[in-house]
Amino acid sequence: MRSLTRSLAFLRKELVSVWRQPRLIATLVLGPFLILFLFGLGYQELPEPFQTVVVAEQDGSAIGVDAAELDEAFGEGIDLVEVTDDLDSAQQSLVSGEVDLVLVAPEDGLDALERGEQATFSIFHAEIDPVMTGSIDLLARLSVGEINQEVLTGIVEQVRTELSQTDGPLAEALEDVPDIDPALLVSPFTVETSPVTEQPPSQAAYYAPGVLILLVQHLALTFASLSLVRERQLGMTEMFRVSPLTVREAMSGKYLSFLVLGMALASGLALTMPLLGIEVQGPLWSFALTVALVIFASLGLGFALSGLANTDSQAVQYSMVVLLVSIFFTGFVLPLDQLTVPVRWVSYLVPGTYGIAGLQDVIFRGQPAPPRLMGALLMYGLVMVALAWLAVRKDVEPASAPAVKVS
Amino acid sequence: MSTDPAIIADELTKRFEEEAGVFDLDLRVESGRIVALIGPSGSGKTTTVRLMTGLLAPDSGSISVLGQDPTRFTPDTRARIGYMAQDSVFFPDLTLRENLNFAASLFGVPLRRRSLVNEMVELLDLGDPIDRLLRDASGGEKRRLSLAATLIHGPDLLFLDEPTAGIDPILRQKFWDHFEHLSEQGSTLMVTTQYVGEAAFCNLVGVLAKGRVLALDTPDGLRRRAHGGDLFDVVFAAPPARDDLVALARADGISKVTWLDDHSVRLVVADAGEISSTLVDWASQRGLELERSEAYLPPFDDVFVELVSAVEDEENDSEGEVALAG
Repeated sequence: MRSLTRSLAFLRKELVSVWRQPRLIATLVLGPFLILFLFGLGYQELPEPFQTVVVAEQDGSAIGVDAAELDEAFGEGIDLVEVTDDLDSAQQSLVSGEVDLVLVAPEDGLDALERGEQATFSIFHAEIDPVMTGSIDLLARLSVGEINQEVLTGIVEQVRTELSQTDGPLAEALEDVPDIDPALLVSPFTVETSPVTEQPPSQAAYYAPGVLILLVQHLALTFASLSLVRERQLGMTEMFRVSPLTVREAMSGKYLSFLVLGMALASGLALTMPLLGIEVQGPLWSFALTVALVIFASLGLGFALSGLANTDSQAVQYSMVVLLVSIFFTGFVLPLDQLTVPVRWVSYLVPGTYGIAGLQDVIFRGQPAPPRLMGALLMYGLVMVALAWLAVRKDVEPASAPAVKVS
Repeated sequence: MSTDPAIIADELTKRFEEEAGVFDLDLRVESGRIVALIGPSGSGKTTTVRLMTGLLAPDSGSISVLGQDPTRFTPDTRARIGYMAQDSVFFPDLTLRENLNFAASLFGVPLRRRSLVNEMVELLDLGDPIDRLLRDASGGEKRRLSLAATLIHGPDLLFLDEPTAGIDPILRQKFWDHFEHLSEQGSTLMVTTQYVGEAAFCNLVGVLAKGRVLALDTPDGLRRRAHGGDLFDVVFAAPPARDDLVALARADGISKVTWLDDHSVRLVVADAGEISSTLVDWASQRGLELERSEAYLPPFDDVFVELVSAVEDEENDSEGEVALAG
């Protein structure tokens, strides 16, 4: 009973301390909601079309396709601003940022074809973002594919028309061929993708589990770390060490209090999800279990890190480093598959890695979080408990007795 | 009440640097007593308390508190100890009442403790600020909270590190009245203080300087030790002659006579309770009229200064001897 009283003292103390900071609570609850809301509101799934200048022959017809057809062939990703024959002026516009792309059409497209060579479109851009550079590369290939199809369709139409106007066996044979659209002839196959999930998430919604998990992880870690460091700075540990308090009692009180806080925060965030158009399709118990395990593991990590910090600012710095690692290594931004194996191990040192994958399954796939992930997270949390024990022990237990020489 | 000594220290040593720490401390405190450790800042008072509460482990020597090595206290033993640190340490975001409840919980006081808390609030005059945040409390209020938190679980043994520092004289007296009350009820108290005069409230006083115990005795014993015996003031109706005083200094039980002014002298005597008859006989033989005679209790500040000076003189003498020998 006394042991429970001591644990409850920490539970009450931590909760009251946080409750006494209304601005902090408002920031914790409203902040993440606003972040998600603004992100969902402002994020465009497709980038703005690239403003493009085409450099071609004087008559604006590089390969027998006029400007209007060229614009149509480019699709939604490219806005044709101008067709010009002045390469220097176009490149000047690119450097000054007036346009995004300069596409130089081959001067001798048909001649090259007759020579049995491919004609080359050259695209110049000033992009430095690797993702956008990749997008330009992909867009260029798709656009050239479209142009090739347009050219081939024209050729097929032309050949068919010319053949039909001749007499002879070829024209007769052509009459037996079904009247197939030339566009279909040059592009007989297409592809459709269908997700197995009922409601595939939008780009903004996709990041919601990551935001929730990283936020809960960061807060749990920071609260845990600061809690111990502040007690040390205040000198409270002296009272703990003289009192009958045990490491188990102090830890259970702290774990419980921050678990309650973290779950309350996560519940608040979960309740705002429908406002952002996100529905949890899987079981809620799995949602709660995943979040609880992430908090449990993060608290242990926070307590363990507090052993390395002497001041508030050091504790915050450590938690910021973990947050930075989390952004890059948990699958929040970049897929884990794109990390090579030795580096990917770093991912598994962060609780968020397990939490984000688990919560994505629960929210979007409508399945409980995979048991292997939850098991790994539980194991991670237990290892952290052992490390946290070492950090808390030096605050709670008395001076380790050296071999006292009794004279 | 246990009859075993509450504290036994034998050649206890904790060394921080060459000159700092506690060295060869011998101490025995019976249960139900108040023992004061007095000395200037840096004399080793707090280190001694920290050794006895298990906050520090000694380098050598032995120590037993409530029958156990403090570094291996069981939780039950810890629950019998109260410790008031030199600095008030609590949570600034909690009220004084919440901090008091936290301390009570820490020592296992059951949750139904409202009357106990109210009792402490009344005792330490914390009624007004009790629901104020600690960060808004005054230094004195924090000190009172600290004492309340130390007392709330009714410990058998209290370590109070400068409990009256920064406290006004009226509250200080109230603290000491309560300490005496606790002692009468069987609690043992070890109190450190820089207010040397507070030694008078204690059963045993240890005078510390530079980590060493200069003297350990009852308050009266310390006074005698400082001055070589009891002090006794005599006031004459008319100024005595020098020869009269020479004769007085040779009387049994009198070791020293010092002029205070023309009409009065201060005697150092073996026992102030037995000197009156000697004085009366001497005065009648010499035809002197005594206007007043009474034992003089020197303030402990004086006692402390005398003791420290005596030790320093001894040290200087020994250094001189070494120098001569060299």
